[in-house]
This record gives sequence, C-alpha cells and structure tokens, in this order.
Amino acid sequence: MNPLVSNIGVMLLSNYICKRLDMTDPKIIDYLRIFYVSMNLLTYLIYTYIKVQIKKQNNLTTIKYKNQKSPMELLFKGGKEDDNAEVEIVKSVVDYDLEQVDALLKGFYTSWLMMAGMHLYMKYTQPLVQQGISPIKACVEHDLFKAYILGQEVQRPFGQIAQPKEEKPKKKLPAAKKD
Amino acid sequence: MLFKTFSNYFKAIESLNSKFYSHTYEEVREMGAFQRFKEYDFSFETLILILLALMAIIFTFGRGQNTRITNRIFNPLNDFMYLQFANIGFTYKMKRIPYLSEFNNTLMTGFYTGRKNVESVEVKLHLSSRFNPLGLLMEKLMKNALSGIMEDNLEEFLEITIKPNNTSVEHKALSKEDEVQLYQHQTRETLPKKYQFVAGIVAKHSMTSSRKKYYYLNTVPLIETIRLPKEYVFMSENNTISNGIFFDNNQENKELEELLESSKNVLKSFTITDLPDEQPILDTEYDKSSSRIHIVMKIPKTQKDVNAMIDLIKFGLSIYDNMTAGTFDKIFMNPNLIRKIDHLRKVERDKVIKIMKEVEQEMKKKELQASK
Repeated sequence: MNPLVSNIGVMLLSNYICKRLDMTDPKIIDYLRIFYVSMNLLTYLIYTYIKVQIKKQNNLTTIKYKNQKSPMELLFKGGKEDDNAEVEIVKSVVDYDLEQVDALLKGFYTSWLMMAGMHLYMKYTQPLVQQGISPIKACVEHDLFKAYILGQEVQRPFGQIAQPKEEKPKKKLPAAKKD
Repeated sequence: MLFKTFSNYFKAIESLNSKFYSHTYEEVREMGAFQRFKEYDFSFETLILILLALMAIIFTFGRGQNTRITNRIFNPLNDFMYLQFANIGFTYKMKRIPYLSEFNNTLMTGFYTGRKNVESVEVKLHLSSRFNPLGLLMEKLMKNALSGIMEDNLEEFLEITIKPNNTSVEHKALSKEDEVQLYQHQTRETLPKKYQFVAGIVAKHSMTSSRKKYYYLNTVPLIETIRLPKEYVFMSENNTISNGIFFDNNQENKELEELLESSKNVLKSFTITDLPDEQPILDTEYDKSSSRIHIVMKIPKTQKDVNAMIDLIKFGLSIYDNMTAGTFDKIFMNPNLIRKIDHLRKVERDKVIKIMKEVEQEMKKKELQASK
C-alpha cells in the first residue's frame, strides 16, 4: 500500500480511537502512555538491531548517486540552485545504510522531544495514539527493514526508481572504473 | 516565565544572608572580623569556588588527556624518525622540543628534515578541545540539529605530509634576486614531470568525505580494483600510474597489501599528489602547489595502529627513494600518459581562470552600480 494512503488511514484510525476513549480518565491516559513508550521502544530496538546487522554484514559494494542540496543548504550556502546543486556521491553500502539509520534515529529523537513538549508541558493526550503507531509503521515500511529483517534485495539509494542511462551523461565527477 | 524562575533563584541566594543583612551598620561595626565570618553564610561563595575548581580540574585534565594521546603517537614515531632524519622537532626558547603544541593542545605538529631524497615530513595531529566538554557538547548538538549548515569541526584526525627533494637535477644558476631566497618555491614549471600526478589509495568509508575535503581527490576518477583489499579503492589519474607506483610496475606487492590490511581501522587516504588541498581561487596559487605524499588517518588508538602509521610513513619514504632512483621512470616515458596528465592540469587551470574572470566581471558590475 502507498505510505501516503496508509498514513491517512492511521490518522483516521487514531482519531476514531481517541473519540471512543475517555481522555479525562487518568487510568486511560496511563495506558496510552504505556502504549506510546512500548511502541517507541520496540521501534528503537528494531533500528538498533538493524544498525548491528549493517555493521556485521559490512557490505563494501560501492554505490553512486546524486544528492540534491537541501533547502537549508541552498539558503545558507548556495543562495541559488546552480550547477553544483546536484553533487555526485560515491559511498559504500555499509556507509549509506548507517547514514540512513542515523537519519531515522535523529528524526525519532526529534519526535520524542516534540511529544514530550506536547504531552508533558501542553498536556495533550491525543497525539500519544498516533505517535505510538506512526514510528513502527514507518520503520516496517522502510527499505532497511526489508533488507535486514526480511532479508529482501533492495535497490540503493532508497526511494529512487532506477532510471535508464542517458546516451552521453554530463560528467561532473570522473566516473568509477573497474580495473 | 524564565525570567520569573531566575528572579526566584536570585531571591533564594539573597535570603541566605538575610540574618547578616538584618543587622544595623552599628551592630556590624561592633562585631569583630571573626564574628562577621561566623554570621555570614558562605554557602553560595563556596559553591562558586567549587565550580571554578571543577572547571580548572576539567581544563587541566582535558589538556593532559590531549598531551597523553600526543605522546602515545609521537614517542614511538620520533624513535623511528631518529634513524631516518638528521633534524627532529623544533627549537623553542633555546630548547629542543619533539613537537609543537598550539591552541590549548588541540593542534600538535611534528617536523622532520635532513634525509636523502626527502625534503621534510610534517605530522599534524588535530585533536578536539577535551578541556571544554560543554563546548564540545554544544557543538555536537548543533551539528546534529543543523547538519546541513554546520561544519564538522569535531573530527579528530592525523595528517602526514612527506615532501620530496624534487628539484630538477639540471642545475640552473640563480639570478641575483633569487640568491637571497633560502628555499625556492616550487612551481609547476620547475617541478619535474615525474612528480606531477595524482595517485591515491582511499578507504571506502571515507570516499565522499575525502573528495569533499581535498580538491586533488575531486579531480581524479575512482578505480575499483581487486589488487587492493576490499576496504580500499584507487583514486588516481591513471591506472598505469597507480599500478606502477603502488605495485612495482604491475608486480605483486604483498607488503603493501599487509600494510593496508593492518591499517584498515585508521587509514583514510594515502595520496601522492601535486595539486593543492583546497580548490585554488587564483592561478598563481594553482601554479605554486608542489609534489607531496599526503596521508590522512584517524587518530591511532592502539600500539598496533601507531605501528601501522609508522609503516605507512616508511612506505611513503620508500616511494620517494624509488622515484629518485628512477624505478618508476619507465611509467612516465609514455607520451600518451604525459599528454593526459598535462591536459588535466590545463583543464583545472582553465577552470580557475574562468572563475577568476567571473569574479572580476562581477566586481566591475558592482563598482559600476556603486558609481551610478
């Protein structure tokens, strides 16, 4: 299923659950807290397991991809999107995968902080349901889960459909050669 | 809200001595010094003194930690270098020092000179500011939060630069102006052809970061080869050069394989280059660059890593010994190869000139706009 569609599904489901629950009952709030913490802990453990597996498998195959500058980089460093906006990157699979896990974990920590602010300071309880389901859903849908937990073959870089090669590509960086 | 919290804290600190301040001026005057000390609550001052002492201890410990790391690397290195070089370290305030420490022990430099075929070896150890853990924490948090715009200054690394005695054998009489100059600046014109190339062995885990950081690696292609251990790739102008120099004209080089295997935890790149480290912005800067071996490593943590570092230097020195002896001359007799090498340098120089012209035009435009 398309992740966008399933995200809407999760949102509607969490709204439905929240309407059915009495959010003023401290007992229910405690259960929701336990649900949120346990789901996040499970997700964190999965990511940690994936990280261990990446290091253990140590796949040193090289991959090449073009990395587009983020809007923040363009704003602070480049100013405008010029020829160098797309930089070709050569990495080994192990480094690429570790970078992806670290990015996921960083997002994960940010969502913890946001949730802590919303729940502990602003006293919102409804996001506990959605934020309990979303991380584990995102984790299971990610290519790293498919590669290291389900053992499937996945294309890197993730989320990019393999494009047919152009006849004469413009050479920014010298291409990789095989000896 | 934050202001209120702070104000409450200040009030609490003030209330510590409310009893002392409740005395009138006359009462305080009548008290002796001892009585005044007894009445006054010094708990806040004590806390501040403890904090200052803690800061001093952390500062001393952090600096000491950096010195310990440096000694662990430089002591065995200097022992090896004593057998290779006539001049080791620096003379500072009439004393010989094995290495120079700068910026509160965060940059350590070792210098070795006086050897046949090699002009000098410079070892630079870049350490993080362990004496300022709060600063380090802040920098790390900022790096994580704004990874796109923050530069990575936390990385600790070791760089070794080996410069050859690459002045041409052909002696030219110096003009009167040049005679006063002790060390001639090597330029691309005076540099012999056999020193003008880029050939490197780069660890796969630092391919992108090395290319980002070092301009000379950014100009050459990546070549995967079964000759090297699976952790490394060649980044070289030409396969003939890298195979010829690192594998003794396409023969097997077991020693190099073992060396690379033993240094796989620390070595980032081992490059013979004549191009500058950073992208030059002036053509004169581009022309000034000289031939060298540039080794970039992680900080050696174990004795095994330190030994691997020494072996890498030994290997670097042997390359220049062989180069001077003419072992690799055959490689550079290929006119096609020389043409390719010259072409790359011409293309890179043209790029620099193009950028210079663009900057000049923009400056002229701005001047015109300002005059209007």
